[in-house]
Amino acid sequence: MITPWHFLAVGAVLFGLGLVGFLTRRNLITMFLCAELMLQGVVLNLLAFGKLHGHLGGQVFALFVLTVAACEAGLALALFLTLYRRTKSLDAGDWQATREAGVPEARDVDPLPAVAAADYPTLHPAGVRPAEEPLRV
Amino acid sequence: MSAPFDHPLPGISPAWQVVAGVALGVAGVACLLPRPRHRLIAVGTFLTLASAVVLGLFVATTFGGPSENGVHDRVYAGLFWLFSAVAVSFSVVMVAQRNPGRGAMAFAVSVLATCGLFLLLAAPFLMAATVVVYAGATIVTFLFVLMLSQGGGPSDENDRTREPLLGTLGGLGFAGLVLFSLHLGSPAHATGNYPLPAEPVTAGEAEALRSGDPARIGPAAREVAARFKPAAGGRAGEVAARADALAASPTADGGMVLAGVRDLPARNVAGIGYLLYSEHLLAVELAGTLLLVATVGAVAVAGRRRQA
Repeated sequence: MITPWHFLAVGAVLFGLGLVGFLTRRNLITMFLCAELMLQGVVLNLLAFGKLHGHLGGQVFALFVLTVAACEAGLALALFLTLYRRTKSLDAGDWQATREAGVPEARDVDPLPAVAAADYPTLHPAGVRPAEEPLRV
Repeated sequence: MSAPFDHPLPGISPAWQVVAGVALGVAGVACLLPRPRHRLIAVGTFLTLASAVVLGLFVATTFGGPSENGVHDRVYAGLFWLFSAVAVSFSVVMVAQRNPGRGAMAFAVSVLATCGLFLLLAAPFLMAATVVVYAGATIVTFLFVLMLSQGGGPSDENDRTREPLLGTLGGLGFAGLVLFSLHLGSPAHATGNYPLPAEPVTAGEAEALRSGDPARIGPAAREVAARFKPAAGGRAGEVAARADALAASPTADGGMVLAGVRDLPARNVAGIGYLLYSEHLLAVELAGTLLLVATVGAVAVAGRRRQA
């Protein structure tokens, strides 16, 4: 039989996976999605306890968690837009200058694989260049 | 459901089952995480699946409640395993996916499966709200990915991770600790001091518990009564007091108490509304204010342009 403990276990696993993604990934959008995944695990916990106690308080609490998640989504995406305007990249590692004092800088040792440039045909100009038209205003 | 899974891992204590599952999961996810070279997708997938099997067997065998093998139970269990398998596997896909757009799609599938779990937990309103909120959020996130991602080739943010092994160990180790402490507090683990009953004590059972009529006591209340007999006023008295409080509450006749164990009382939406706008009115107003402040803040943060 499925007890509330089964749901708590699934919630714990979802939270752990979200934590893994938040700690390791460097794309800001992926990190944001992982934080949302952690919130899903928490909501699952609240609902399971609500069912265990036969009370709707868990669902009300989960509703407020959903509200906070929506606020977080709006603010996070606005911040990502601002950060992107500065560095033209979504890499969280670009902001490691803000790290704590005394922490060594993280360097990427492994080079990214080179992508072979596509072999596009070159077009040579041919014919006579037309005379420029007078500018009409 | 329980017959083929009675002793799938004979002789292995639950602690070692959790440790094995977490170790396999750490190795698998660390292999799957994107890196510029030597990304072992096949090995990582195999290890992650093995970890899912071990942890699934742990959950299936250690958190057992009273087993009743009706059709209702079988369907409920089947839906639970289906939804949780989809949710967990697509979460792994999202965490390990190189392409953030595909990651967002995997996240959408994971949220939909979690909404199925919400339905199993008798929360239809929350299911609908989550679908609406996250459908919108996922679309917006997808638009952001399209707008901000660099085209094509490998990039720092998508093909590199920080500390894949330590980060995976941190996250999954935390999940393993939670699983093990859940096992310690689960109803099947009888050696703990204060295990909770597997099922909620209903108001009728609390009434029977208070009146001391053993014939009318249901399984959960009998469990409570047997376990807390030395302190007669303890849990039983607390349960009876809560039943009194519920009976005195104006919402007791409606949807405040979920109808029954393992039923799906789809009509508790009115109860949520009553509870929100009677007991939690101030919190609702604060949540609305929070949304307003977040909107203003988002506009203020994103709308600011640097002076040229």
